[in-house]
Amino acid sequence: MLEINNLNVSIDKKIILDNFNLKIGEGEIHVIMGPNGVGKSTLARVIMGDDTYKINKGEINYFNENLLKMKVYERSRKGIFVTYQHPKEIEGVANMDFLKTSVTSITNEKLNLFKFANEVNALKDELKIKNNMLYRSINVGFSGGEKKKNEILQMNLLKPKLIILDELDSGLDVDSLKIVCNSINKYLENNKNTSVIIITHYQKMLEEIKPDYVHVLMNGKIVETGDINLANKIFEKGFDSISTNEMKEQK
Amino acid sequence: MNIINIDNNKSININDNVCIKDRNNKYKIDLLKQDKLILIINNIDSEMVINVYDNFNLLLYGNIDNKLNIKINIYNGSKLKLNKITKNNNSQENIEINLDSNNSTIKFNCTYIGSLKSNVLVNHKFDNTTSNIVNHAATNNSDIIININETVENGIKNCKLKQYTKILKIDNSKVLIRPILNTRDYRVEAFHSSIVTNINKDDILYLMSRGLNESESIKLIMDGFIFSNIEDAEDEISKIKEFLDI
Ligand SMILES: Nc1ncnc2c1ncn2[C@@H]1O[C@H](COP(=O)(O)OP(=O)(O)O)[C@@H](O)[C@H]1O
Ligand SMILES: [Mg+2]
Repeated sequence: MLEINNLNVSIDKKIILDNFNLKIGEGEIHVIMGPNGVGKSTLARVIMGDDTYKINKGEINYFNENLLKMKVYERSRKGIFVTYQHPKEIEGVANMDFLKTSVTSITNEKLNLFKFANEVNALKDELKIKNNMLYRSINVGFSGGEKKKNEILQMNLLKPKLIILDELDSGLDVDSLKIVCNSINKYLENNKNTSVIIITHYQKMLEEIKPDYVHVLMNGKIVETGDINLANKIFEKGFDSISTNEMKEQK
Repeated sequence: MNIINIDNNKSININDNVCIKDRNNKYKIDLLKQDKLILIINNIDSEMVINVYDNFNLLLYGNIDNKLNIKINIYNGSKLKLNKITKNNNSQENIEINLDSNNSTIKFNCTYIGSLKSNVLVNHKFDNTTSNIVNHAATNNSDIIININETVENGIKNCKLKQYTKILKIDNSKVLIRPILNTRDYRVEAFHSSIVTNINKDDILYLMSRGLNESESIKLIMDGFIFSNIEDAEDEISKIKEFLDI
């Protein structure tokens, strides 16, 4: 469903991703790990379509279409959903009005308000979201955890085919992380073809959502791919164990 | 809440609390007893004089394609809570507020949409009067000038003046805010702040990443900003949106 070939991305003339390759099939769960500042969020933002990042080389195909030619909202309408590490606060725009507009834009049909309200209510209970969060301004005055829950509420409503979770676990306490991951797992259970990219530093997240592949991103590219055992090795020994391997290869 | 469409009320219209008269092309509206009222002021050409004799909650809205002239006099130490939302089309608004007795108070949430020039004049004519003006204006490629002029007359003491103006715009609209506070007396509390901001590109990006196109995103942010200035009349927002076609 997603194929990234030889991608080179820079910001302010600094190259962040170089010769980056990644292939994701339908229904697969991939994890991307890497030290702070290596470009994990950059990757998520490039897939989302944030044009502050400059694409110098390479291609991204999404269901055999050229993703890089699509506008941000076209990508979203075609099923790409990227959670924000720090979701935006937008004063004066009621969360519920936003959700309605968003769902309407994506489904491109008139909203069945009754059905929509039921769906939101069920998700509200599932995610243990306070009722007033639906009517307050988007993310304004929400705690870190509430913002992340709001992201997953949106995810459930927008029915994405590719979900990118960028440090969803940061700012979430253990209980909230469980709630949020259960909701994601339930969504994946009902949408078996949906693929996921998880960006995380923490083991807890991968205990909740079981990945098929684990990649390590360093020096602009994926330097090692494995399964959960690779993640466990990193949790235990850190990224040094990886970088020494790579340096050995280079020698 | 009572809704009166001013344009349809050329003749005298009275209930216990409100009296509206149309005299020589001038509306005289007396707010006599504590109540709430909505007046639709769609393109009224004639001047409006509103006399306030008791605490009152008043909501005004309409399209203004040419001129709006309103004079408000607040008597009996009354408190007027005023919301005004106008959709402007290169129009001019003149709003004069006279605090005409001790303790007279106005809380004015004043909202403009579109291109306009506005003069808001507030006169503190008695001791212990209070004014609190919050202006929100949003423009999508059109020009806005807002002058706010507040005066405390000579020898008048213990007044409170507060004004806050915020204009939200996208890139190349021209906007200007001129806040003026005149007072010769030191026994006054005055506060003002004026802010002009461009719509945040990251906010637009966030909404676009959730499927809204660029103009839908901008509209949602602008509407949110505009209607967040309505206070104690939130239930009317959907009607106002419909009427003003926003
Ligand atoms: N908007 C930006 N402006 C300037 N530099 C940026 C910006 N976003 C990211 N960077 C830089 O790009 C690099 C990669 O950042 P990021 O993708 O956020 O890393 P990660 O998510 O892996 O921690 C960092 O060196 C960071 O400082
Ligand atoms: Mg990051």
